[in-house]
Amino acid sequence: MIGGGRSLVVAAVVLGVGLAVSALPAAAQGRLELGVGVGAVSGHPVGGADATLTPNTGTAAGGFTLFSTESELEAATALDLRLGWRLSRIFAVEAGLGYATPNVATRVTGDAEAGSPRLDTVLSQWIVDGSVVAHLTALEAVGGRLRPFLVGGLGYLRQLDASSALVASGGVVHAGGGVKYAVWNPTDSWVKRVGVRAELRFLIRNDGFDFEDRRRTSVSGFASVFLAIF
Amino acid sequence: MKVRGTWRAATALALAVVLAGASPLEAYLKLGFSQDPDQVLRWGPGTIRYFVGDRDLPGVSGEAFRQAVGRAFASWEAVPTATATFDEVGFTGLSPLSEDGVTTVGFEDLFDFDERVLAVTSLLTRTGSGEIIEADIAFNAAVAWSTDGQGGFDVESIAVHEIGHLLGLGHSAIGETELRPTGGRRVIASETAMFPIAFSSGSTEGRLLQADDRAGVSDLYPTPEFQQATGSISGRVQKGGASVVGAHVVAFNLQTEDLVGSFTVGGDGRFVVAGLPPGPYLLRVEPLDDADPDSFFDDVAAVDVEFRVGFASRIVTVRAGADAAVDLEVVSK
Ligand SMILES: [Zn+2]
Repeated sequence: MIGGGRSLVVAAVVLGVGLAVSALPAAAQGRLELGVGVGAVSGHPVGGADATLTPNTGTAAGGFTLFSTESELEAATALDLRLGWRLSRIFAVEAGLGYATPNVATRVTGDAEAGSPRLDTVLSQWIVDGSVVAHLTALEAVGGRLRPFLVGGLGYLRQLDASSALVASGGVVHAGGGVKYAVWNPTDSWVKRVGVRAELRFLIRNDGFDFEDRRRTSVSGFASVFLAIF
Repeated sequence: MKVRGTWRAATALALAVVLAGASPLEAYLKLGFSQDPDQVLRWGPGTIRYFVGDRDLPGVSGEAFRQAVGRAFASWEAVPTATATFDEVGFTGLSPLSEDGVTTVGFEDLFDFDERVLAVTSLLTRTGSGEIIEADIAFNAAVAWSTDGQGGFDVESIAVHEIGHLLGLGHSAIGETELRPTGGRRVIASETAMFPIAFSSGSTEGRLLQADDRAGVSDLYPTPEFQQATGSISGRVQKGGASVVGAHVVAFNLQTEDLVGSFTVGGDGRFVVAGLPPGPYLLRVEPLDDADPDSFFDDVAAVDVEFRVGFASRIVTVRAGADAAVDLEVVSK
């Protein structure tokens, strides 16, 4: 569980920063916010490849293709853990750990002897990220219970194969937004808020499991519950 | 063929004509050796010294031949992950078929061989160790040759193939052929210098070493970096629970698009594709039906060609210094 270990490191760094700059009392919002959610990450292509042979004299000049492949990292359900630290009424920093097991579907085409077989390669995918969250206080509704926010940050991606060996790593830039709704808002407890959160993110991935080493984009959506304390 | 005195008992290398149905002058001769599978044929450390035959043929002078052969040796020597090195000693009037104790490359009248044979390589190995101590390459003097790609079979291309044998490499099967209406097979395309059937007369494509050739020579003569930087894929090929022998297994790198091949050998249908740079691979298995199986194996009766081309069910990730295990299941034709 390398991803878990790394998330703790990131969280510690984020908390350190938070403590250093958090002069403002974050009031009754609760300084520390813990969240756990489930969601989905959309798929994206990971590239194609052609198995070409050198043609003999008098045959196709463009080369002889034995077969071609196209692969796609398919959409997958995902788990998401968040640890946030409120710096002010508006700003917070968050560390996150995401886990999913997407399938890489590979379609073989153009093989005169093999038809069009499909290969399935399941990956374990971890993303550790750090984000800045901006709460849109001007847009609060339902007596302050409903609070929209914007989020953006950077992540580190690790993808493992069925034997838990690393097959690829990469970076992820994400940006998005969502809403938090406080279901319970006690005033006389160390628990400050308990609520639900919905969030949509756009992801730009560099490297990772990709046969063409191209930048890929995808979308993720999560629904989670959160607990804000202190 | 060449019976080599005291060496012959355990090390005689049977040179047999391949591609019985091949069209004239399009076939190589195979190096079919029955050997202990654990005994690898290779040269000991040090530079391999060779002589060049001084015979002139119409269109190919002895000097042009010497230069073409030198370029072919240089191609193998240039493989950065292999340590084999060569040194040309000079011309010799000795026949490459004579038993003279020196490694010789030259033209010869191959009267004893099938007329389709372009060239033959014979090895002399030390009994017990498999160490190669002499190798001769004889080019068929009855063939129309060229060194500039202007008609005739290309000396450099054929030399590249035969030097592969000289180094201890057998045939590779990464190639596609078609039956000719007049009988025999014609290469459509191939991606290895060690394919048992040559490109057509006039082609110089065979001069280039491919990924499969580089992996082969590096596996035999590895630099320390090669062993640390590459991995392998191994496993079994089965059909209905039974082992498939003589299946051609090819690893395709999805990033570099390189192809490296191997075969299932032994009774349990096991294969190893070695010398693979780390990365994602797709594994394809096919029957040996693009050349006669005896181009690759002595025991052709055991070779199973009655199955359909198949792929491993998932992408295989190769890591440096590690082996990835994958089993393949094929179905009957
Ligand atoms: Zn050969």
